[in-house]
Amino acid sequence: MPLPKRVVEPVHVARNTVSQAGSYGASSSISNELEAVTNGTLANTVRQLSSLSKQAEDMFGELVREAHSLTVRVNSLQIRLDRLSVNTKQLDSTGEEVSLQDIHMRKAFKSAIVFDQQVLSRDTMPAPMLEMYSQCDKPPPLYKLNPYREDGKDGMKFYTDPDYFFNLWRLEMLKDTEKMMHDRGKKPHRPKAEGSGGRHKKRVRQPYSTRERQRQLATQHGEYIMPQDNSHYRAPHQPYEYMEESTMMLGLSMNDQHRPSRPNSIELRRSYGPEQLHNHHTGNNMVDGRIYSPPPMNIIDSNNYAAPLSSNNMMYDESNVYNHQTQQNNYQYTGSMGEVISPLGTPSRGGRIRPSQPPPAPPSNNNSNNSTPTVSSASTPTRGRSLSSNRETLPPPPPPPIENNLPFTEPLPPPPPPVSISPPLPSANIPPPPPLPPMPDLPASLANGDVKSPPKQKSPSNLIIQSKPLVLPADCNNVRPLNGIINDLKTTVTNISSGTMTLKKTPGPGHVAHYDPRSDLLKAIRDGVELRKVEKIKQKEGERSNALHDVASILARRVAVEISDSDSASGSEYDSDGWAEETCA
Amino acid sequence: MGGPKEGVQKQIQQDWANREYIEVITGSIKKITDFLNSFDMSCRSRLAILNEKLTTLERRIEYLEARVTKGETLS
Repeated sequence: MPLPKRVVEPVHVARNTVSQAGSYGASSSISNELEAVTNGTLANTVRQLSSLSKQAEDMFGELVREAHSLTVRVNSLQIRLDRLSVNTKQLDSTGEEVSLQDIHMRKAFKSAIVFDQQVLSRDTMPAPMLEMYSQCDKPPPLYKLNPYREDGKDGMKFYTDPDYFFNLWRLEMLKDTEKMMHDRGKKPHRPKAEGSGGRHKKRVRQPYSTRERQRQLATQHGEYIMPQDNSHYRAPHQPYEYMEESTMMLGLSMNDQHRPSRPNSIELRRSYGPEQLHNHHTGNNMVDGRIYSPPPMNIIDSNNYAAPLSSNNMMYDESNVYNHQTQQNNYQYTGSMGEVISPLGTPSRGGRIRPSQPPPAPPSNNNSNNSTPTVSSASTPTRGRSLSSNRETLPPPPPPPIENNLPFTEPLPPPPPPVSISPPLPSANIPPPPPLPPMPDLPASLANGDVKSPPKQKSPSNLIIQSKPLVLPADCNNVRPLNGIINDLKTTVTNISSGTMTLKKTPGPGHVAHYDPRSDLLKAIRDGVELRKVEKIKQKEGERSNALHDVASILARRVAVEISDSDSASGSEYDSDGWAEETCA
Repeated sequence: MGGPKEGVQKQIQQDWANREYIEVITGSIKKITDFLNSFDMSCRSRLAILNEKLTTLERRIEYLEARVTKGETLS
């Protein structure tokens, strides 16, 4: 819909003049209606003139400003020209000696000219146009539905997305450059086949997740007329300019795995991953996203993510997802406690837990994974029983273990992992601790030792020893035969090592020290590769984010890559591909 | 009978005269706007041409400056 830039205000000069006059009072006051109409029309005409003069003033102002900027440039140019002429006259071809070394050492020329960017942005919009724009209807508040979207996308982007074309172009450009970098050492003909294949996916429009919007809001808050929606309209600039370019460039990197299709299928979630990646560089985004998305959705995502693992990009998300899973598991296990724990805190804990889990019990892992839901559900009832039994049998011991456990858990990030593994077990053995989140860890270890095979417990043996005074009797009642032999050995050790409560406490930190390197090693062995990848991806994302939003930087990088590319064949191919793309489009 | 008729005729004639007058005014307003629009357009096109020429000139001068002046050496 075209918007007139300037409107001279009263469009209908002669309308409503009589009714206005009549409304003033009795018809008697208007002696001559025709005259009234004439007067009203004249008045409106004068208003029109005033509006016209205002618009004219604005127009001339714009022209004057532009002309002034031109004169400034001309003046500076004149000055440079004079200086240049003086310099050229002073040049002496005979007296000047240029050493070869100097020539080689000379710095490369770098132009200082700054090219205009984002020419059609909100900032450069002329005032009258802005005025007209502000009078337009706002888009429907689709962003309010964002919390209910399960794919995490911004509902607004389905309605209008001024950044769409720029993002499209940006993705293509970045992908092209990356591909060129990759292909440089390989065969030049590779991109062509890929380009033709993925073109169809490209057409589909895909909105970006809310995180992007949130980030924009956070970073550039207050710039916009509308408090929340406006971020979308902030940059109406690039789309049209670069649309052609983008279409041309499409040829090479048409295979866009990440912009597949409408939000109905699982693919959406997969595609969602990369978006997350883009948005994740800023830590806040993650938080926002998490908060926004309902818990069930996280589960779904995590499940889906497991599959796409193969792609490098996914790795980063996956780790997060994993945390989510563990987090959710914790929720289930702890029940009310889980709710108390802040979402932020839990994921980190889960992350730590994960690495430490492997060492103590590979077998236990399987058990926990398979049976977590059932066990947890079953555990709740048992918890009550165990509580009562423990209390009855051992009223005094419970308080000291809590103290011991607390310091323990805090210094030891690894211990929490057992919690996730053992959640079902702890509930059975140690109901009293529930108020304290760390408590479950100890009970878990105990429970593992009691119920399951002793070998697993070797690593947590320290824990068991400490907690023994508390739970041992109860354990003996329940499953004495299993641990009996080992427990006897342990009890002897415990007797030697720990005589009193304070003594127990001190071993805790020492054990912690032992634990940390161990768990770290295992962690590194287990997850080392993954972690590194994540870092790489993060770095990449960081680089991208830096370069992403700047047209000039993207183009510059691309040009640099192209120039440095000695393979002329790939370049020509690229061009042809682009043309073919355009013609097809 | 004749009095009111003449009065009405007079009023109508006066009204027609007034309308003609207003028509002249509005017509001139239109002319002004047309002129302003064309003026704006021509000015902008000229300024744009000028801007373009200036840009090319700036580039050339930049090139010449880079040619003439001794660039800094890396050492």
